[in-house]
Amino acid sequence: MEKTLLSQSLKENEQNLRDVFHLCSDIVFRYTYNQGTPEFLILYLDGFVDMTVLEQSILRPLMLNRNAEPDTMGKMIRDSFVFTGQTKTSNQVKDVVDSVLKGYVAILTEGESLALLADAAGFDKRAIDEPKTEKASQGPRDCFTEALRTNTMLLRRRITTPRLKMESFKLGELTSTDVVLAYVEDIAKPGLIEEVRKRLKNISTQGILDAAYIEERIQDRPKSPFPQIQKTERPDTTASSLIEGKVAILVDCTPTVLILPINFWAGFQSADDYYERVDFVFARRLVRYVMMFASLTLPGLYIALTTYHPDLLPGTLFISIGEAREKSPFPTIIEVLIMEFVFEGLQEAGIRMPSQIGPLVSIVGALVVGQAAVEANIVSAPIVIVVALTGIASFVIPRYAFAIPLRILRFAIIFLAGIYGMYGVSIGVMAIMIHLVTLQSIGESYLPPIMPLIRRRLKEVLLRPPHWPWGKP
Amino acid sequence: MTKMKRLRSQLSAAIMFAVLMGITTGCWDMVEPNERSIWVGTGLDSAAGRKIDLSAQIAVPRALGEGGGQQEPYMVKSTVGRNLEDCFQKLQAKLSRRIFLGHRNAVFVGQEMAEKSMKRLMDEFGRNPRSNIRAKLFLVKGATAKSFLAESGGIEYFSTEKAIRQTRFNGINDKMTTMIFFKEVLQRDGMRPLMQVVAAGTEKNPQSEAEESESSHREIALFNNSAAAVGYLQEEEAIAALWAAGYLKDQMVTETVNGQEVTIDFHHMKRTLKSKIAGENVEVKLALRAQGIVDENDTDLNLFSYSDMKQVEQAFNQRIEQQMNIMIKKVQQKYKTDIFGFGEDIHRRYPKQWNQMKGNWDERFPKVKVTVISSITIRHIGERGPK
Repeated sequence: MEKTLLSQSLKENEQNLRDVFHLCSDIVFRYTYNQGTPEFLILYLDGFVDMTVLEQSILRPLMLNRNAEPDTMGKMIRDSFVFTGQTKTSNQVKDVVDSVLKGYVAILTEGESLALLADAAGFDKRAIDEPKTEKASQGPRDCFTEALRTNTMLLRRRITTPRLKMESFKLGELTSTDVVLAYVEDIAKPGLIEEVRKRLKNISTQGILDAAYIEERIQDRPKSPFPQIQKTERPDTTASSLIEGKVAILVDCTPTVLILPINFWAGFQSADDYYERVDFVFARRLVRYVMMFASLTLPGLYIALTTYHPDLLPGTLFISIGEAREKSPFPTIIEVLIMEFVFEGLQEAGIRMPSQIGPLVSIVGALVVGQAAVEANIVSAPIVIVVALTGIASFVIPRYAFAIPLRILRFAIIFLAGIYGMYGVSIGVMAIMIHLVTLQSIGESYLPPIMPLIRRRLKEVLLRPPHWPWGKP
Repeated sequence: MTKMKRLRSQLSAAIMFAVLMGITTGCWDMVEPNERSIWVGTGLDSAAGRKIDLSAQIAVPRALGEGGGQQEPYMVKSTVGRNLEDCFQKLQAKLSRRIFLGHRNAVFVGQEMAEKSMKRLMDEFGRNPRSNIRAKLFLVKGATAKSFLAESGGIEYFSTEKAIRQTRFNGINDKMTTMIFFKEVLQRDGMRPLMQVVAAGTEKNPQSEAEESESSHREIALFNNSAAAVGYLQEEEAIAALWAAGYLKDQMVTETVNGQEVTIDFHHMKRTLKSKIAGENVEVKLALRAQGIVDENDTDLNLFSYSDMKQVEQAFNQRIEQQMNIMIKKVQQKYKTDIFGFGEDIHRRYPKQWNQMKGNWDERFPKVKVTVISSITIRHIGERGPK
């Protein structure tokens, strides 16, 4: 069977490791020879290792060192001749295997049961790009990448203090993904850090391929449609959250960083809110809140108002709606459902389709669904307007994850409006509010400062605190 | 298993809730917009044998859209019934779509009906929860309300809309022309209602009005205690009455000063009453206040000069007082109905004495001694000072 410890015999070690890496074609076993006898066994994973580092800092010193006595070999590889930044030694087979899989170079020699592990990792990675899902008009343009070390670097560049802690975890039996829990000591509450640590340690799974794998496993109410953990790809957002005392979870191989705890309003704040003028941001946030409400209730309100309570509409508007509906074959609710469904389909198609045929879908969407359907009297024009407005409204919400629950619940509101009218809409909105009030993000309430009411922080929701001193902190 | 059970109980609770919600809302009252007949205006005429001839002006949405045009944008349906709700029910039988009163913006009462008495109509006003209580109330003079509804609206789609808009820009407080206000005034002891009058047959040729240049038409109808129209006031008298009764907000007034015309555009028009009981008699001091802009000055007076301006003010005050006195005398002697609310003022100032007075207020009202004090001020003399 496999041995757990390295032996002194180079041959035995080689055989042992070859068994472990049986059929792994990307593992390279490289010998260096001294006067015909094998001196060092060098083991690395092809593609994971920076070849210049391997050649200049490992192979070169080892092979040029011809005068050493054979019995000092072990001492030698421990102390000198390897010029890489990070080295470690181990006599465990498992350590050697794991390190090689992470991009280390293992060096073994005859008569020595210790392996030297030198970090020469240099696999291909993406350059730092602009944020794709969280666009901002102003402010920093860098974005997290798939490489964990790049991401921690981006944070460290912003928060230059040893108090920024980055605890390391390894999650996933097969992937053994590096996960970093970042927080600023003395600002983040110890109870919060302890809770997150505990939840992270409780994760047991085969693989972690994205931050979402962790998000779903550590959130308080997995069944709620509302996100309880913020996902971001912006280092500036992450840094500002850390300064506020929140905790970030960085996961290797994904550009998404988790921030927790969050509250509901965070979904309606964008990074560039803090880079633009205060007054402008105030107006912008007003637009967002109105649009949030529209995104949730507009189709429902349309159904309720036109079919249950036309008294509430201006007379001329109601006559125009009546005129537009003269030839409609379906009840209003069916019309709304058809159009909403088509719109959802268009959105889905927009994400999936190859970029070459992108314009085609927008033509089909705008012309066929919008204009032709109205002209053919299949749906009435006001419905198209309502659905289009709702669509715009849902894209106004800065964080994609927060637009999704509203998109789902919109359909519930549509059904409630169709069956119970305005009564149904208000019951639906109330039910959502009750749900939001009871929701928690890592044990903290979801709707502060509205619920629980914190008067002096109330203005933070609608306005944004300016950078100049502003009343009591 | 317990998890399954909990899920099932939650599900059944949700279904239960939905069903109960459905029951509490009463019934399925969803009506598509194209299943409603949008009732724009009501006409009320008296029919033989205490019956009511109710007519409805109903919008025809199809004719309002593109490709309409050949068809009139409204139709008028009428029916005779025993009371208003009875008429509604009979009318529904004539319509292919559900009656919808939410946008019924005006009620027209035929002259015959109004002069007989509208008391029996009053209960439905504001009781029917589906009707629009802020609908305006008009009296159609010289014709039936039905014929007014059948008229073309001229520039507007409906004659109803035309009537509403004509009065909207005439300076009368919007709230005071509604049917609910009419009903409210009628319920008071010391005030009688009045109503806007529209004339039928003014819109014979909607394209042009040039052939017969009509004189502008301002008329109000005065009602007595039993909601019967007892008299009408036209033009200046109507405006004076509206001002004295507190209905007016702003108005242009033209008077003769030194033999030439001056027009002042008044705003902030107010009237205050001060009543006094002197033995058996009631004395009322009616103070009229307004501020205005001189819009036209055909006289030789130089408004830059303070004395000339005062002269204009004085002439206006004099003329207003004169007109008011004539108008009030006419209302007191001829129509004997207290549209000004003198009784209400006594009610407030002397609640105890009022209890004895309110029984025969209609007999006392003609004997009230009214002193009119007009104090208008010119706030602005217009763009140019002298002539």
